[in-house]
Amino acid sequence: MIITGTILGALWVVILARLPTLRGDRRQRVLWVNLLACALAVTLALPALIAGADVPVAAHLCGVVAAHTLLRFISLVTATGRTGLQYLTVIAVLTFMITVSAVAGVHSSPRAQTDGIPPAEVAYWTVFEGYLAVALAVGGLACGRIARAAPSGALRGGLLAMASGSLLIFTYAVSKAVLVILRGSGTPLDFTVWEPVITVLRTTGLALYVAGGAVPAASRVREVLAAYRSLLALRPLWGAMRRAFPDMVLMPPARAALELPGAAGARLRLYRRVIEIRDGMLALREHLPAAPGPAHPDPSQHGAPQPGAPRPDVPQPGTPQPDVPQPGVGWPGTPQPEVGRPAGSCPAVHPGEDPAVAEARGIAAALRRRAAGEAPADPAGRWAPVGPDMADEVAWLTRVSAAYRRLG
Amino acid sequence: MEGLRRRCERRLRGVRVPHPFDLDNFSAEIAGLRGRPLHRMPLPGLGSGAPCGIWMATPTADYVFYDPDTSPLHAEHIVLHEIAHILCGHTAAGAGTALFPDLDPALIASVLGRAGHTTAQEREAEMLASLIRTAGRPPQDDPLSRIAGALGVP
Repeated sequence: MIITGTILGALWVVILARLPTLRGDRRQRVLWVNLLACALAVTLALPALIAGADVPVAAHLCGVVAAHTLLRFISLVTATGRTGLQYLTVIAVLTFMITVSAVAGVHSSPRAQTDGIPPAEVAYWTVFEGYLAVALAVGGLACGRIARAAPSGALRGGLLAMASGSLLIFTYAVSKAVLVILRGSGTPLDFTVWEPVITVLRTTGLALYVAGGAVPAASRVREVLAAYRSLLALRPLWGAMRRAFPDMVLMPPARAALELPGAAGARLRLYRRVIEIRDGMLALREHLPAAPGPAHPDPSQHGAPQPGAPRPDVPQPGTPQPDVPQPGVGWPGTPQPEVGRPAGSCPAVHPGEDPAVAEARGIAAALRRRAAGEAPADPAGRWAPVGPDMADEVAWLTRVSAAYRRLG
Repeated sequence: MEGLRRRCERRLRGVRVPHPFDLDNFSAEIAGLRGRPLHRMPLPGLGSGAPCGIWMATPTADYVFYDPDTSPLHAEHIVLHEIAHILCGHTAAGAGTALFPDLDPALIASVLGRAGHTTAQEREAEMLASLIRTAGRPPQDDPLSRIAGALGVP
Protein backbone atom coordinates (compact mmCIF):
# COMPACT_ATOMS: atom_id res chain seq x y z
CA MET A 1 0.00 0.00 0.00
CA ILE A 2 2.98 2.28 0.58
CA ILE A 3 3.99 1.78 -3.04
CA THR A 4 0.45 2.48 -4.24
CA GLY A 5 0.36 5.62 -2.09
CA THR A 6 3.67 6.78 -3.53
CA ILE A 7 2.44 6.20 -7.07
CA LEU A 8 -0.74 8.06 -6.25
CA GLY A 9 1.28 11.02 -4.96
CA ALA A 10 3.36 11.04 -8.16
CA LEU A 11 0.17 10.85 -10.21
CA TRP A 12 -1.29 13.92 -8.55
CA VAL A 13 1.99 15.79 -9.07
CA VAL A 14 1.87 14.93 -12.77
CA ILE A 15 -1.76 16.08 -12.95
CA LEU A 16 -0.92 19.43 -11.36
CA ALA A 17 2.18 19.85 -13.53
CA ARG A 18 0.10 19.20 -16.63
CA LEU A 19 -2.63 21.69 -15.70
CA PRO A 20 -1.35 24.22 -18.30
CA THR A 21 -1.99 21.61 -21.00
CA LEU A 22 -5.70 22.23 -20.52
CA ARG A 23 -5.06 25.31 -22.64
CA GLY A 24 -3.51 23.07 -25.30
CA ASP A 25 -5.11 20.92 -27.96
CA ARG A 26 -7.80 18.28 -27.56
CA ARG A 27 -5.35 15.39 -27.22
CA GLN A 28 -3.63 17.09 -24.29
CA ARG A 29 -6.95 17.76 -22.58
CA VAL A 30 -8.12 14.16 -23.03
CA LEU A 31 -4.82 12.86 -21.65
CA TRP A 32 -5.18 15.14 -18.64
CA VAL A 33 -8.71 13.88 -17.97
CA ASN A 34 -7.40 10.31 -18.31
CA LEU A 35 -4.76 10.93 -15.64
CA LEU A 36 -7.31 12.68 -13.43
CA ALA A 37 -9.73 9.75 -13.69
CA CYS A 38 -6.90 7.32 -12.84
CA ALA A 39 -5.94 9.42 -9.82
CA LEU A 40 -9.55 9.68 -8.60
CA ALA A 41 -10.06 5.93 -8.98
CA VAL A 42 -6.98 5.13 -6.90
CA THR A 43 -7.70 7.88 -4.36
CA LEU A 44 -11.24 6.60 -3.78
CA ALA A 45 -10.13 2.98 -3.61
CA LEU A 46 -7.02 3.31 -1.45
CA PRO A 47 -8.67 3.66 2.03
CA ALA A 48 -10.84 0.58 1.37
CA LEU A 49 -7.88 -1.39 0.06
CA ILE A 50 -5.89 -0.54 3.19
CA ALA A 51 -8.80 -1.57 5.44
CA GLY A 52 -9.60 -4.70 3.43
CA ALA A 53 -13.13 -3.36 2.92
CA ASP A 54 -15.31 -2.99 -0.18
CA VAL A 55 -14.00 -0.45 -2.68
CA PRO A 56 -16.63 2.22 -3.45
CA VAL A 57 -18.38 1.78 -6.79
CA ALA A 58 -17.39 5.39 -7.58
CA ALA A 59 -13.78 4.21 -7.83
CA HIS A 60 -14.80 1.59 -10.40
CA LEU A 61 -16.75 4.21 -12.36
CA CYS A 62 -13.66 6.47 -12.40
CA GLY A 63 -11.69 3.49 -13.70
CA VAL A 64 -14.17 3.11 -16.56
CA VAL A 65 -13.90 6.83 -17.37
CA ALA A 66 -10.10 6.47 -17.36
CA ALA A 67 -10.32 3.55 -19.78
CA HIS A 68 -12.71 5.47 -22.03
CA THR A 69 -10.44 8.54 -22.13
CA LEU A 70 -7.49 6.27 -22.94
CA LEU A 71 -9.46 4.95 -25.93
CA ARG A 72 -10.36 8.50 -26.95
CA PHE A 73 -6.73 9.57 -26.64
CA ILE A 74 -5.55 6.69 -28.82
CA SER A 75 -8.29 7.47 -31.34
CA LEU A 76 -7.21 11.11 -31.52
CA VAL A 77 -3.55 10.16 -31.88
CA THR A 78 -4.06 7.48 -34.52
CA ALA A 79 -7.02 9.17 -36.22
CA THR A 80 -8.95 5.90 -36.00
CA GLY A 81 -11.92 4.63 -34.01
CA ARG A 82 -15.59 5.54 -34.06
CA THR A 83 -16.31 8.31 -31.60
CA GLY A 84 -20.05 7.66 -31.40
CA LEU A 85 -19.58 3.96 -30.70
CA GLN A 86 -17.03 4.72 -27.99
CA TYR A 87 -19.42 7.10 -26.22
CA LEU A 88 -22.39 4.70 -26.55
CA THR A 89 -20.30 1.84 -25.14
CA VAL A 90 -19.04 3.75 -22.13
CA ILE A 91 -22.54 5.07 -21.36
CA ALA A 92 -23.91 1.52 -21.53
CA VAL A 93 -21.14 0.18 -19.28
CA LEU A 94 -21.59 2.95 -16.71
CA THR A 95 -25.38 2.57 -16.73
CA PHE A 96 -25.14 -1.19 -16.23
CA MET A 97 -22.63 -0.89 -13.37
CA ILE A 98 -24.64 1.81 -11.58
CA THR A 99 -27.85 -0.20 -11.95
CA VAL A 100 -26.37 -3.47 -10.68
CA SER A 101 -24.62 -1.83 -7.76
CA ALA A 102 -27.82 0.02 -6.80
CA VAL A 103 -30.12 -2.99 -7.12
CA ALA A 104 -27.97 -5.92 -5.98
CA GLY A 105 -24.99 -4.26 -4.30
CA VAL A 106 -21.37 -5.06 -5.15
CA HIS A 107 -18.84 -6.53 -2.76
CA SER A 108 -15.20 -6.27 -3.62
CA SER A 109 -13.31 -7.15 -0.45
CA PRO A 110 -11.23 -10.35 -0.78
CA ARG A 111 -12.98 -11.87 2.22
CA ALA A 112 -16.49 -11.27 0.76
CA GLN A 113 -15.49 -12.59 -2.66
CA THR A 114 -13.98 -15.70 -1.07
CA ASP A 115 -17.34 -16.37 0.56
CA GLY A 116 -19.03 -16.31 -2.81
CA ILE A 117 -20.06 -14.09 -5.75
CA PRO A 118 -23.71 -13.96 -6.87
CA PRO A 119 -24.52 -13.94 -10.62
CA ALA A 120 -25.36 -10.22 -10.71
CA GLU A 121 -21.95 -9.39 -9.26
CA VAL A 122 -20.27 -11.78 -11.69
CA ALA A 123 -21.92 -9.85 -14.53
CA TYR A 124 -20.83 -6.55 -12.95
CA TRP A 125 -17.20 -7.62 -12.67
CA THR A 126 -17.14 -9.18 -16.11
CA VAL A 127 -18.44 -6.00 -17.76
CA PHE A 128 -16.19 -3.77 -15.64
CA GLU A 129 -12.95 -5.72 -16.07
CA GLY A 130 -13.80 -6.64 -19.66
CA TYR A 131 -14.18 -2.99 -20.62
CA LEU A 132 -10.91 -2.11 -18.87
CA ALA A 133 -9.14 -5.01 -20.60
CA VAL A 134 -10.30 -3.99 -24.09
CA ALA A 135 -9.33 -0.34 -23.58
CA LEU A 136 -5.95 -1.20 -22.06
CA ALA A 137 -5.14 -3.72 -24.80
CA VAL A 138 -5.95 -1.17 -27.50
CA GLY A 139 -3.97 1.54 -25.66
CA GLY A 140 -0.99 -0.66 -24.87
CA LEU A 141 -0.68 -2.04 -28.39
CA ALA A 142 -1.03 1.43 -29.91
CA CYS A 143 1.65 2.89 -27.62
CA GLY A 144 3.97 0.01 -28.47
CA ARG A 145 3.36 0.37 -32.20
CA ILE A 146 3.99 4.14 -32.12
CA ALA A 147 7.08 3.68 -29.92
CA ARG A 148 8.69 1.59 -32.64
CA ALA A 149 8.62 4.62 -34.94
CA ALA A 150 10.15 6.92 -32.30
CA PRO A 151 13.87 7.66 -32.18
CA SER A 152 15.65 6.22 -29.17
CA GLY A 153 15.46 8.50 -26.18
CA ALA A 154 13.02 9.75 -23.60
CA LEU A 155 10.01 9.66 -25.93
CA ARG A 156 10.55 6.08 -27.05
CA GLY A 157 11.32 4.95 -23.50
CA GLY A 158 8.23 6.72 -22.20
CA LEU A 159 5.95 5.20 -24.81
CA LEU A 160 7.32 1.71 -24.18
CA ALA A 161 6.78 2.17 -20.46
CA MET A 162 3.19 3.30 -21.11
CA ALA A 163 2.65 0.29 -23.36
CA SER A 164 4.08 -2.11 -20.77
CA GLY A 165 2.06 -0.51 -17.99
CA SER A 166 -1.17 -0.72 -19.99
CA LEU A 167 -0.57 -4.38 -20.82
CA LEU A 168 0.19 -5.22 -17.17
CA ILE A 169 -3.07 -3.62 -16.05
CA PHE A 170 -4.78 -5.47 -18.92
CA THR A 171 -3.39 -8.72 -17.50
CA TYR A 172 -4.71 -7.75 -14.07
CA ALA A 173 -8.17 -7.02 -15.45
CA VAL A 174 -8.34 -10.32 -17.36
CA SER A 175 -7.07 -12.25 -14.34
CA LYS A 176 -9.59 -10.61 -12.06
CA ALA A 177 -12.47 -11.35 -14.46
CA VAL A 178 -11.41 -14.99 -14.79
CA LEU A 179 -11.13 -15.41 -11.00
CA VAL A 180 -14.59 -13.84 -10.47
CA ILE A 181 -16.19 -16.03 -13.16
CA LEU A 182 -14.59 -19.16 -11.68
CA ARG A 183 -15.71 -18.26 -8.17
CA GLY A 184 -19.17 -17.34 -9.43
CA SER A 185 -19.46 -20.76 -11.08
CA GLY A 186 -18.77 -22.40 -7.75
CA THR A 187 -15.03 -23.05 -7.91
CA PRO A 188 -13.55 -22.56 -4.45
CA LEU A 189 -10.99 -19.73 -4.51
CA ASP A 190 -9.36 -17.82 -1.69
CA PHE A 191 -9.28 -14.19 -2.83
CA THR A 192 -7.17 -13.16 0.19
CA VAL A 193 -4.42 -15.21 -1.47
CA TRP A 194 -5.08 -14.36 -5.13
CA GLU A 195 -5.86 -10.65 -4.79
CA PRO A 196 -2.40 -9.58 -3.55
CA VAL A 197 -0.79 -11.50 -6.42
CA ILE A 198 -2.77 -9.83 -9.19
CA THR A 199 -2.65 -6.46 -7.41
CA VAL A 200 1.12 -6.47 -8.00
CA LEU A 201 0.36 -6.45 -11.73
CA ARG A 202 -2.00 -3.50 -11.35
CA THR A 203 0.35 -1.48 -9.14
CA THR A 204 3.39 -2.09 -11.35
CA GLY A 205 1.35 -1.33 -14.44
CA LEU A 206 0.08 1.94 -13.01
CA ALA A 207 3.62 2.94 -11.99
CA LEU A 208 4.93 2.25 -15.51
CA TYR A 209 2.00 4.07 -17.14
CA VAL A 210 2.44 7.21 -15.02
CA ALA A 211 6.23 7.20 -15.29
CA GLY A 212 6.09 6.60 -19.04
CA GLY A 213 3.80 9.57 -19.50
CA ALA A 214 6.01 11.79 -17.36
CA VAL A 215 9.45 10.85 -18.75
CA PRO A 216 9.24 12.81 -22.04
CA ALA A 217 7.97 15.89 -20.20
CA ALA A 218 10.73 15.50 -17.60
CA SER A 219 13.32 15.65 -20.36
CA ARG A 220 11.79 18.99 -21.38
CA VAL A 221 12.08 20.19 -17.79
CA ARG A 222 15.79 19.40 -17.91
CA GLU A 223 16.08 21.47 -21.08
CA VAL A 224 14.28 24.38 -19.44
CA LEU A 225 16.45 24.17 -16.32
CA ALA A 226 19.60 24.19 -18.47
CA ALA A 227 18.33 27.29 -20.28
CA TYR A 228 17.63 29.02 -16.96
CA ARG A 229 21.11 28.15 -15.70
CA SER A 230 22.57 29.74 -18.83
CA LEU A 231 20.34 32.80 -18.42
CA LEU A 232 21.68 33.25 -14.90
CA ALA A 233 25.27 32.66 -15.99
CA LEU A 234 24.97 35.30 -18.73
CA ARG A 235 23.30 37.83 -16.47
CA PRO A 236 26.45 39.72 -15.32
CA LEU A 237 27.56 40.41 -18.88
CA TRP A 238 24.05 41.06 -20.15
CA GLY A 239 23.38 43.40 -17.23
CA ALA A 240 26.45 45.46 -18.10
CA MET A 241 25.28 45.76 -21.72
CA ARG A 242 21.75 46.57 -20.62
CA ARG A 243 22.98 49.42 -18.42
CA ALA A 244 25.10 50.79 -21.27
CA PHE A 245 22.51 50.28 -24.04
CA PRO A 246 19.01 50.07 -22.51
CA ASP A 247 17.35 50.37 -25.93
CA MET A 248 18.73 47.04 -27.06
CA VAL A 249 16.59 45.03 -24.61
CA LEU A 250 13.52 43.69 -26.39
CA MET A 251 11.91 41.83 -23.50
CA PRO A 252 12.12 43.05 -19.88
CA PRO A 253 13.30 39.94 -17.99
CA ALA A 254 10.56 39.91 -15.35
CA ARG A 255 7.77 40.10 -17.92
CA ALA A 256 9.49 37.59 -20.17
CA ALA A 257 9.73 35.12 -17.28
CA LEU A 258 5.99 35.44 -16.67
CA GLU A 259 4.86 35.41 -20.27
CA LEU A 260 7.31 32.84 -21.69
CA PRO A 261 7.42 30.07 -19.10
CA GLY A 262 7.79 26.92 -21.23
CA ALA A 263 10.68 25.30 -23.05
CA ALA A 264 10.13 27.39 -26.19
CA GLY A 265 10.00 30.52 -24.04
CA ALA A 266 13.23 29.65 -22.24
CA ARG A 267 14.91 28.98 -25.59
CA LEU A 268 13.68 32.33 -26.91
CA ARG A 269 14.84 34.20 -23.80
CA LEU A 270 18.28 32.63 -23.92
CA TYR A 271 18.61 33.48 -27.60
CA ARG A 272 17.60 37.09 -26.89
CA ARG A 273 20.17 37.31 -24.12
CA VAL A 274 22.93 36.18 -26.46
CA ILE A 275 21.83 38.53 -29.24
CA GLU A 276 21.54 41.50 -26.87
CA ILE A 277 25.02 40.85 -25.50
CA ARG A 278 26.34 40.67 -29.07
CA ASP A 279 24.47 43.88 -29.96
CA GLY A 280 26.23 45.58 -27.07
CA MET A 281 29.61 44.17 -28.06
CA LEU A 282 29.05 45.37 -31.62
CA ALA A 283 28.31 48.87 -30.37
CA LEU A 284 31.35 48.73 -28.07
CA ARG A 285 33.65 47.57 -30.84
CA GLU A 286 34.94 51.04 -31.67
CA HIS A 287 35.84 51.62 -28.01
CA LEU A 288 38.03 48.52 -27.90
CA PRO A 289 41.61 49.47 -28.65
CA ALA A 290 43.52 47.07 -30.87
CA ALA A 291 45.88 45.02 -28.75
CA PRO A 292 49.47 44.41 -29.71
CA GLY A 293 50.53 40.84 -30.36
CA PRO A 294 48.72 38.04 -32.15
CA ALA A 295 45.51 39.07 -33.84
CA HIS A 296 43.58 36.10 -32.54
CA PRO A 297 44.25 34.27 -29.32
CA ASP A 298 43.80 30.55 -29.49
CA PRO A 299 40.78 29.87 -27.29
CA SER A 300 41.07 26.14 -27.98
CA GLN A 301 43.95 25.95 -25.54
CA HIS A 302 41.46 26.71 -22.82
CA GLY A 303 38.57 24.70 -24.13
CA ALA A 304 36.89 27.72 -25.64
CA PRO A 305 34.87 27.49 -28.83
CA GLN A 306 36.93 27.24 -31.94
CA PRO A 307 37.23 30.33 -34.09
CA GLY A 308 34.21 30.74 -36.31
CA ALA A 309 34.80 28.49 -39.22
CA PRO A 310 32.78 29.48 -42.28
CA ARG A 311 29.50 27.59 -42.45
CA PRO A 312 27.36 27.40 -45.51
CA ASP A 313 24.25 28.65 -43.75
CA VAL A 314 25.88 31.60 -42.04
CA PRO A 315 26.62 34.78 -43.94
CA GLN A 316 30.35 35.17 -44.27
CA PRO A 317 32.28 38.30 -45.12
CA GLY A 318 33.09 38.64 -48.76
CA THR A 319 30.75 35.97 -50.07
CA PRO A 320 30.76 36.62 -53.80
CA GLN A 321 27.36 36.90 -55.41
CA PRO A 322 27.58 37.33 -59.16
CA ASP A 323 25.46 39.85 -61.01
CA VAL A 324 24.56 41.75 -57.88
CA PRO A 325 25.40 45.42 -57.51
CA GLN A 326 27.86 45.93 -54.65
CA PRO A 327 26.97 48.73 -52.26
CA GLY A 328 30.07 50.70 -51.53
CA VAL A 329 31.64 49.38 -54.70
CA GLY A 330 30.24 51.43 -57.50
CA TRP A 331 27.02 52.46 -55.75
CA PRO A 332 27.32 56.15 -55.10
CA GLY A 333 26.26 57.32 -51.70
CA THR A 334 26.45 53.96 -49.95
CA PRO A 335 28.73 53.53 -46.93
CA GLN A 336 32.26 52.88 -48.08
CA PRO A 337 34.41 50.26 -46.38
CA GLU A 338 37.53 51.82 -44.94
CA VAL A 339 40.14 50.71 -47.40
CA GLY A 340 43.42 49.92 -45.71
CA ARG A 341 41.95 50.04 -42.21
CA PRO A 342 43.88 47.81 -39.84
CA ALA A 343 42.05 44.55 -39.29
CA GLY A 344 42.20 45.04 -35.52
CA SER A 345 42.98 42.39 -32.96
CA CYS A 346 41.34 40.68 -30.03
CA PRO A 347 41.99 41.82 -26.47
CA ALA A 348 45.54 40.85 -25.46
CA VAL A 349 45.84 37.49 -23.75
CA HIS A 350 48.56 37.22 -21.15
CA PRO A 351 50.64 34.03 -21.26
CA GLY A 352 48.68 31.18 -19.70
CA GLU A 353 45.58 33.33 -19.32
CA ASP A 354 42.09 32.17 -20.27
CA PRO A 355 41.04 34.09 -23.42
CA ALA A 356 37.64 34.59 -21.80
CA VAL A 357 39.32 36.69 -19.09
CA ALA A 358 41.00 38.82 -21.76
CA GLU A 359 37.67 39.24 -23.56
CA ALA A 360 35.96 40.28 -20.31
CA ARG A 361 38.76 42.74 -19.57
CA GLY A 362 38.36 44.19 -23.08
CA ILE A 363 34.62 44.61 -22.56
CA ALA A 364 35.14 46.32 -19.21
CA ALA A 365 37.74 48.67 -20.73
CA ALA A 366 35.49 49.49 -23.70
CA LEU A 367 32.57 50.21 -21.38
CA ARG A 368 34.77 52.53 -19.31
CA ARG A 369 36.07 54.34 -22.39
CA ARG A 370 32.55 54.80 -23.71
CA ALA A 371 31.22 55.99 -20.34
CA ALA A 372 34.09 58.47 -20.08
CA GLY A 373 33.21 59.87 -23.51
CA GLU A 374 36.60 59.02 -24.96
CA ALA A 375 37.09 59.15 -28.70
CA PRO A 376 36.77 55.87 -30.60
CA ALA A 377 39.94 53.80 -30.55
CA ASP A 378 42.10 54.00 -33.63
CA PRO A 379 42.78 51.36 -34.63
CA ALA A 380 39.83 49.59 -33.06
CA GLY A 381 40.15 46.03 -31.85
CA ARG A 382 37.79 43.16 -32.41
CA TRP A 383 36.23 40.51 -30.27
CA ALA A 384 37.42 36.94 -30.12
CA PRO A 385 36.02 34.67 -32.82
CA VAL A 386 33.47 32.09 -31.80
CA GLY A 387 31.84 29.05 -33.38
CA PRO A 388 28.69 29.37 -35.48
CA ASP A 389 26.17 27.59 -33.29
CA MET A 390 24.04 28.80 -30.42
CA ALA A 391 25.77 26.29 -28.14
CA ASP A 392 29.18 27.78 -29.08
CA GLU A 393 27.94 31.28 -28.26
CA VAL A 394 26.38 30.28 -24.96
CA ALA A 395 29.47 28.33 -23.87
CA TRP A 396 31.84 31.15 -24.76
CA LEU A 397 29.77 34.04 -23.42
CA THR A 398 29.11 32.09 -20.21
CA ARG A 399 32.85 31.98 -19.59
CA VAL A 400 33.26 35.64 -20.51
CA SER A 401 30.36 36.56 -18.22
CA ALA A 402 31.90 34.63 -15.31
CA ALA A 403 35.23 36.37 -15.92
CA TYR A 404 33.47 39.75 -16.15
CA ARG A 405 31.75 39.12 -12.81
CA ARG A 406 35.08 38.27 -11.19
CA LEU A 407 36.57 41.51 -12.53
CA GLY A 408 33.96 43.30 -10.45
CA MET B 1 4.95 41.54 -25.31
CA GLU B 2 2.67 38.50 -25.44
CA GLY B 3 0.63 40.30 -28.08
CA LEU B 4 3.77 41.08 -30.06
CA ARG B 5 4.87 37.45 -29.91
CA ARG B 6 1.49 36.15 -31.04
CA ARG B 7 1.37 38.69 -33.87
CA CYS B 8 4.80 37.54 -35.02
CA GLU B 9 3.75 33.89 -34.81
CA ARG B 10 0.82 34.73 -37.07
CA ARG B 11 3.22 36.37 -39.52
CA LEU B 12 5.17 33.13 -39.67
CA ARG B 13 2.17 30.99 -40.58
CA GLY B 14 2.67 29.54 -44.03
CA VAL B 15 6.40 30.23 -43.97
CA ARG B 16 8.53 27.09 -43.88
CA VAL B 17 11.34 27.47 -41.35
CA PRO B 18 13.98 24.77 -41.86
CA HIS B 19 14.82 22.54 -38.91
CA PRO B 20 17.64 22.53 -38.06
CA PHE B 21 17.84 26.13 -39.15
CA ASP B 22 19.60 26.86 -42.42
CA LEU B 23 19.85 30.47 -43.58
CA ASP B 24 20.42 29.59 -47.24
CA ASN B 25 17.28 27.46 -47.35
CA PHE B 26 15.27 30.03 -45.44
CA SER B 27 16.40 32.84 -47.75
CA ALA B 28 15.42 30.69 -50.72
CA GLU B 29 12.01 30.14 -49.11
CA ILE B 30 11.51 33.90 -48.73
CA ALA B 31 12.70 34.56 -52.27
CA GLY B 32 10.24 31.94 -53.50
CA LEU B 33 7.39 33.49 -51.52
CA ARG B 34 8.14 36.92 -52.95
CA GLY B 35 8.87 35.64 -56.45
CA ARG B 36 12.10 37.63 -56.64
CA PRO B 37 15.72 37.05 -55.67
CA LEU B 38 16.98 37.85 -52.20
CA HIS B 39 20.67 38.67 -52.02
CA ARG B 40 22.60 38.65 -48.73
CA MET B 41 25.74 40.73 -48.78
CA PRO B 42 28.32 41.60 -46.14
CA LEU B 43 28.98 45.28 -45.72
CA PRO B 44 32.15 45.69 -43.65
CA GLY B 45 33.41 48.90 -42.15
CA LEU B 46 30.16 50.15 -40.63
CA GLY B 47 30.66 52.29 -37.55
CA SER B 48 28.58 52.10 -34.40
CA GLY B 49 26.38 54.96 -35.61
CA ALA B 50 25.32 53.09 -38.73
CA PRO B 51 22.74 50.31 -38.87
CA CYS B 52 24.31 46.85 -38.60
CA GLY B 53 21.86 45.52 -41.16
CA ILE B 54 20.02 47.07 -44.08
CA TRP B 55 17.24 45.81 -46.28
CA MET B 56 16.94 47.49 -49.62
CA ALA B 57 14.11 46.63 -51.97
CA THR B 58 14.54 47.53 -55.60
CA PRO B 59 11.80 46.96 -58.19
CA THR B 60 13.28 43.56 -59.08
CA ALA B 61 15.07 42.16 -56.01
CA ASP B 62 15.66 42.35 -52.27
CA TYR B 63 19.12 43.10 -50.92
CA VAL B 64 20.07 42.45 -47.31
CA PHE B 65 23.36 43.96 -46.14
CA TYR B 66 24.87 43.04 -42.83
CA ASP B 67 27.85 43.95 -40.71
CA PRO B 68 30.11 40.89 -40.88
CA ASP B 69 32.40 42.03 -38.05
CA THR B 70 30.52 40.10 -35.40
CA SER B 71 29.91 36.48 -34.44
CA PRO B 72 28.35 34.17 -37.06
CA LEU B 73 25.15 33.72 -35.03
CA HIS B 74 24.79 37.47 -34.58
CA ALA B 75 25.43 38.12 -38.27
CA GLU B 76 22.78 35.54 -39.08
CA HIS B 77 20.38 37.28 -36.70
CA ILE B 78 21.03 40.64 -38.37
CA VAL B 79 20.06 39.08 -41.71
CA LEU B 80 16.96 37.52 -40.16
CA HIS B 81 15.94 40.90 -38.72
CA GLU B 82 15.97 42.37 -42.22
CA ILE B 83 14.08 39.39 -43.62
CA ALA B 84 11.56 39.91 -40.82
CA HIS B 85 11.01 43.46 -42.09
CA ILE B 86 10.28 41.93 -45.49
CA LEU B 87 7.81 39.42 -44.03
CA CYS B 88 6.06 42.15 -42.06
CA GLY B 89 5.88 44.44 -45.05
CA HIS B 90 7.50 47.28 -43.12
CA THR B 91 8.41 50.50 -44.82
CA ALA B 92 10.13 53.70 -43.76
CA ALA B 93 9.39 56.81 -45.72
CA GLY B 94 12.53 58.74 -46.60
CA ALA B 95 14.92 56.21 -45.14
CA GLY B 96 16.28 55.38 -48.57
CA THR B 97 17.34 58.91 -49.33
CA ALA B 98 18.72 59.32 -45.82
CA LEU B 99 20.90 56.25 -46.02
CA PHE B 100 21.79 56.49 -49.70
CA PRO B 101 21.45 60.17 -50.62
CA ASP B 102 23.12 59.78 -54.01
CA LEU B 103 20.88 56.97 -55.23
CA ASP B 104 17.92 57.65 -57.48
CA PRO B 105 14.86 57.30 -55.18
CA ALA B 106 13.00 55.56 -58.03
CA LEU B 107 15.54 52.74 -57.83
CA ILE B 108 14.75 51.98 -54.21
CA ALA B 109 11.29 50.78 -53.32
CA SER B 110 12.01 50.50 -49.62
CA VAL B 111 14.92 50.66 -47.20
CA LEU B 112 15.09 49.69 -43.56
CA GLY B 113 18.04 49.34 -41.26
CA ARG B 114 18.62 47.57 -37.93
CA ALA B 115 19.69 50.13 -35.35
CA GLY B 116 18.07 49.77 -31.94
CA HIS B 117 14.60 48.56 -31.01
CA THR B 118 12.96 51.90 -30.30
CA THR B 119 10.12 51.74 -32.81
CA ALA B 120 7.22 49.32 -33.14
CA GLN B 121 8.52 48.12 -36.51
CA GLU B 122 11.97 47.42 -35.11
CA ARG B 123 10.59 45.53 -32.13
CA GLU B 124 8.35 43.47 -34.37
CA ALA B 125 11.20 42.62 -36.74
CA GLU B 126 13.45 41.76 -33.81
CA MET B 127 10.86 39.47 -32.24
CA LEU B 128 10.05 37.81 -35.56
CA ALA B 129 13.75 37.22 -36.27
CA SER B 130 14.16 35.67 -32.83
CA LEU B 131 11.14 33.41 -33.33
CA ILE B 132 12.43 32.28 -36.71
CA ARG B 133 15.81 31.33 -35.28
CA THR B 134 14.40 29.57 -32.21
CA ALA B 135 11.51 27.84 -33.96
CA GLY B 136 11.35 24.18 -33.05
CA ARG B 137 10.63 21.29 -35.34
CA PRO B 138 7.56 22.08 -37.44
CA PRO B 139 4.57 20.01 -36.31
CA GLN B 140 4.07 16.83 -38.33
CA ASP B 141 0.73 15.15 -38.75
CA ASP B 142 1.47 11.55 -37.84
CA PRO B 143 0.67 9.45 -34.76
CA LEU B 144 4.19 9.78 -33.31
CA SER B 145 4.16 13.58 -33.55
CA ARG B 146 0.63 13.76 -32.17
CA ILE B 147 1.39 11.61 -29.15
CA ALA B 148 4.72 13.39 -28.64
CA GLY B 149 2.94 16.74 -28.67
CA ALA B 150 0.39 15.50 -26.16
CA LEU B 151 3.14 14.21 -23.87
CA GLY B 152 4.94 17.54 -24.03
CA VAL B 153 7.67 16.80 -26.55
CA PRO B 154 7.91 19.16 -29.55
